Amino acid sequence: MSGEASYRAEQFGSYAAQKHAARLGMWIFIGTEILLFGGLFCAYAMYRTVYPDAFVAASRHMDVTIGTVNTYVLLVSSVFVALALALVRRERELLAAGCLTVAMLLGLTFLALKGVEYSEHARDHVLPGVWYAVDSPRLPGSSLFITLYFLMTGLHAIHMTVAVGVLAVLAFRTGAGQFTPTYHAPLELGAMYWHLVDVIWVFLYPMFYLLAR
Amino acid sequence: MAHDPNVVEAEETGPGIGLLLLVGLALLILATATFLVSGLHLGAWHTPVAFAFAVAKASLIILIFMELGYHGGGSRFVFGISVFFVLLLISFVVLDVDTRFRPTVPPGPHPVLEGKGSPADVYQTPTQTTGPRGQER
Repeated sequence: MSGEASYRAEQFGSYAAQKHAARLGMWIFIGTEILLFGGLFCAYAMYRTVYPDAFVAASRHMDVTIGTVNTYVLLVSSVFVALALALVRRERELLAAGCLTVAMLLGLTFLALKGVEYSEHARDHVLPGVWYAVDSPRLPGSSLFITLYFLMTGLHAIHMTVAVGVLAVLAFRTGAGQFTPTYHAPLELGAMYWHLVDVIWVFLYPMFYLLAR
Repeated sequence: MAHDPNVVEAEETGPGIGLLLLVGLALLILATATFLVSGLHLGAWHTPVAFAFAVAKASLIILIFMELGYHGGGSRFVFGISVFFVLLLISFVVLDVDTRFRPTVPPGPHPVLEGKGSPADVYQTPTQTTGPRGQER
């Protein structure tokens, strides 16, 4: 019997039950996140139905290069996070910490590229709501597309920032040897959150960047 | 022997490293395919194809990376219900808007015409300086 006994909270009959509860709780949280973004996806779907041409025209302002690079960055980061969890289960904690650090740096890269993109939009006056001041296109619905773009990618970027912070803590704890092949629930749950943020981007990318191609 | 709750049961291993790398490669291939296919002239199929690629990538991430394929039924139920209600919401809203009598939809789709004198230009920059009764604005 190892120190894992100390991780079992009193209200649980067994450590397995505790782990199951933790996972279920995380999936319930992920469900709420899906509903949060779901409302915005619904708004996008509705306004795209009403203004299909304006949406296509407005999407020409998107920087497809940055969007595509960001997609690859996030997918690769997800691979590293998944590898980190597998390595911890195989008692390779230092390597796992390295993978988490790489994933965190990729996340920061994503945010940096997003910042560059936003600054380009600001320079070109491709801004949400009443600040939309471009000469082309000036169609009903064009500024709506840009507003939805900033709303959804901005909310995603906030989630990304939190996820980077979570990864930083997990990388530190993994490197410090706080996780074992048996006890690594925080790492598992944090990894799930990172993958959720990636899944959201997987849908945002074609919605905003690939319309006009 | 009675079950000792402090004894941790055999740890499940989850997906192997080989599978994770394979899924990662598949994701990168799908991302590349998404980008390349988006440049084709698919007409009305553009959106469904893009959505299919996104669902494929998301499914791999959720089932393998997030290990939903390895977790119990409760987690799958929660996830499935969330997705179901979001799809229900989007479906009915789009159905509502798409089947309305067109004049009741706020300024409907305009042709992508721009520049001076185009319908879009008139809409965006009203030139009238007097009201309907001839008074100055």
